[in-house]
Amino acid sequence: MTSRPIRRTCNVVWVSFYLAFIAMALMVRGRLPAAVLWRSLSGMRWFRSRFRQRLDDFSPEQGTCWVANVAGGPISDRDARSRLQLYEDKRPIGPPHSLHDDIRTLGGGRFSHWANHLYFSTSDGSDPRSNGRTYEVVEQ
Amino acid sequence: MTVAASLDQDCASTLKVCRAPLNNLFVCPQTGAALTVQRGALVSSDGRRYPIVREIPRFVTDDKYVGSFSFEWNTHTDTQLDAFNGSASSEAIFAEKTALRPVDVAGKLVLDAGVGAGRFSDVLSRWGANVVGIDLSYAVEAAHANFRDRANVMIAQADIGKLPFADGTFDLIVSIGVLHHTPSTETYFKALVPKLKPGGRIVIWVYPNEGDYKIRNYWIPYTSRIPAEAFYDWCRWFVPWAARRRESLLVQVIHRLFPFSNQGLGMENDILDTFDGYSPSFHGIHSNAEVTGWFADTGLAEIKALPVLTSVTGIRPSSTGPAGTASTGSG
Repeated sequence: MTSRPIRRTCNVVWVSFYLAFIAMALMVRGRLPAAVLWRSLSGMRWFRSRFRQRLDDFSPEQGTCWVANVAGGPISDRDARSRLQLYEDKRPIGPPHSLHDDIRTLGGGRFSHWANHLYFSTSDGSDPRSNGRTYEVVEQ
Repeated sequence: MTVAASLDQDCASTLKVCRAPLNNLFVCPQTGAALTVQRGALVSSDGRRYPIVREIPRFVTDDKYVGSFSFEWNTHTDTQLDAFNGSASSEAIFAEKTALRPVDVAGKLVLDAGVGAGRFSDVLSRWGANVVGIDLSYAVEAAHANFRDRANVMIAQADIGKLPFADGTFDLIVSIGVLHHTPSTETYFKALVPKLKPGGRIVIWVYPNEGDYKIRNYWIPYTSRIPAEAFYDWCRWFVPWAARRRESLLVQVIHRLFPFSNQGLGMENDILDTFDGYSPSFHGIHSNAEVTGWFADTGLAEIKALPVLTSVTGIRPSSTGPAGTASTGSG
């Protein structure tokens, strides 16, 4: 007779393999978003150097929110949890992963990395196009 | 005293049938005939017998397609019951999904359709309602044990599709997170409505057709085939493993593809909820418009979609008019 701990371990192993197989089958059939897995794998730091980009093209969004383009590569909050930190004149600002409504209404340096865009606010609500400061995102 | 008489007396006391207002509630689900307690069973005048096993009236012979719930609720008998875990989370969820307050239910006769281990019956009971909780699964064993000392709760094993109650019995019917686990959410919902008294209210919440519910819908045909014990062992390993690595990219990707519970109500709750999310045979997902449409079809009035998506409430009119008389609102 198989002891309970051994049976439990066997159950964990075979169910893990079974679920992984089903996940792949569902992605092949287009039921699950395979792009999430692909973006995540390609965004893993194991496969490339630390991401760093100076931001220089800002568009006003709403309220205190501005939008800047971020090159593809790092994982964004759309797919999992972005690891980008925004620096204003080399000082980190935030918090990251903020709600876009909070960025628009509360500002204060809040930002969100969403797909290939950075939705952000400056620390004092000033216009990043004319306040003379530098803005840079660096992967943590 | 004869053995039969002794059994009858025993059944009567354990069934709480002597305690008004839960007195003489059950009827034959096949014919609607009245039932009397005889020799450890409820018996109709035409001889149909519904046994009382471990003090619970049984109107079904087994748990049919809800074996996972039998396993789940007899494993986590009191994890989600406020009365046992000391939190008020179930009460908050119940209030949010039903928009009911204690004053709305106190003294009312309430059917909890799909009682499980009794999470919401516990709330209703503490709010002063007289509650009848039914479930197709053997979760009734856990519910009965949880409410053994409460005079205002009665538990029975029965099918929502063949309810052992006369029409017009209940002041309030609630079914929160249950009907989507039946073969047809709509059909089983419509089986509940006639059991309302005129002027009685029904509130249901079913899975919405979006977000995690939609993703789980793709998984269910495969995960529901995994034997309950094996899948539960996996959940007991995986959920704590993932919780310890919540910030890791791997776990975040898994969560996108296989949404697992992270409700902030404790690890046992998350294990239970993950198992609950993927193990049932049926997993219906519905839109607000669809659900309010069912309410209108059955002639319910004052239909209102509550702030929680796919939570809908309505009232059975005192004199049932055509379906078109029902008004639809939104919360």
